Amino acid sequence: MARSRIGRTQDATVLVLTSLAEGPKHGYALIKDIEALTGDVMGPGTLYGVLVRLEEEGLVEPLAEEDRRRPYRLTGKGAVALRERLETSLRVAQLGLSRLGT
Amino acid sequence: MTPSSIRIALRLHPRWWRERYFDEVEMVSADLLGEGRPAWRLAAGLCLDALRQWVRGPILDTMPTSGLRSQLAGAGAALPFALVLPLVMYTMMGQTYRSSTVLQVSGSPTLDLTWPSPDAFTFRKFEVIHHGSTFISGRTGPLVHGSMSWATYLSGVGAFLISWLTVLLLIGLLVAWGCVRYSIRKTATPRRTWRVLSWTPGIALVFVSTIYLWVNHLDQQPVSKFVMHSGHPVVSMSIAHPTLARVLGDVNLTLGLGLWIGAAVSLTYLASHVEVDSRDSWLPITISRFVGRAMPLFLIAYGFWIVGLRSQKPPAVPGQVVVSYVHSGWWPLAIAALLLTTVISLRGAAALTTIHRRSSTISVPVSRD
Repeated sequence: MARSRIGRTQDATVLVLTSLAEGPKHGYALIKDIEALTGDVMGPGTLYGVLVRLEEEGLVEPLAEEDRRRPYRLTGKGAVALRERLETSLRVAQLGLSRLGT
Repeated sequence: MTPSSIRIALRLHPRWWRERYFDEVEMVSADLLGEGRPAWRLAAGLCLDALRQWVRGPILDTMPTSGLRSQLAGAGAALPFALVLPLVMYTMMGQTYRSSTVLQVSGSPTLDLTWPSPDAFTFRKFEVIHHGSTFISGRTGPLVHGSMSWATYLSGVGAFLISWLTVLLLIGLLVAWGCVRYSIRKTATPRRTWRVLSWTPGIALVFVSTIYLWVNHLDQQPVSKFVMHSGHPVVSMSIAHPTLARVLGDVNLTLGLGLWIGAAVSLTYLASHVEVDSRDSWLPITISRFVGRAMPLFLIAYGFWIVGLRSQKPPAVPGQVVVSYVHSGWWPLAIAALLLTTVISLRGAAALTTIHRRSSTISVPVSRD
């Protein structure tokens, strides 16, 4: 299967938050986790564009740097936002599937 | 060692971003390169992100508060300049156009061709080039589409975009300035000096606008006479008071810029003394964010306009009716000024946004893991 680029078809914000829900991760670990999760490739430009926005909105926070690698973790506010987003997606998915008759 | 393309892409980011993320992202890029990811793809993604970060502005705690307030003040001070500039631009462009387009000369109504009038696309004032002489007519003619040069179209689209983006810019700057004024009013012990200084953009605006309108009025007082040119009688037109118009124009340029700089200094001083509470300023924040994000379009529109102007060709055939934008030597100055205003506005919008974020972060209790 050809690898696709995140951003066109995937919501990068949800993917980053979902990855961090497992625990703190630095940039490279996030990219690998998202790749394992979806099979899609996320570049550092996309990842840090999302991280900057999430950080300013208080949904993630940076931890102390370790050897030029700074881990990020989900905040309480971020966890609430992710849960709301996933629940909405779940409702939409269930409704869509039921309408498709699957 | 990361390739130079990635380091260049990282350096394209704004300073606040580089100070915070440069090492980190370089490390991640090095890891990805080690996996065999192509450097050009990583660099391209980082270039796009650099553009995004320039547009969005700095995030929490990446700039000192005094710097943020200075930016806000700059945005307010840019207001008079941005208000007057479009007027100057339109005068400089004039209502005469030049290209190889075809006009129907007779039977045309006289229309107001000011952009963004939709008729400006289909009607032009014209010059008739006849046997080497120029007959200047005050009439307009309907444009026959299809023969209009691409350069004229391009500059027309640029001018149209500039018109509407200017309106956006003005709204944003006006609201930013209103935000400063409101904050002064809200201060428990406002100083009289603050109130006076906060009106310096208004003073600059009144001065520059008044002189500009006066000059424009003088420019609208033509004197016509018949002169012989290349053996033909042609109409020669000039303005009634050329010396006065030129002196006033120069005064407006120099003193207007001086007043604008004075207003910027005044508001920067204010910005270091007045606290801006964004919870009362959601409207300026919202509008300024929008304006900040529309600013790159401004530069694109200007690019269209300038490329179109520079690409138009002079008339080649005697008797040809030609259409073009007329522009003067002022345009480089106007472009530079507008770029400056744009940058200041962008930074002002970013400052407002950041102040808002700070306030939100403080006011919303966040439970940490």
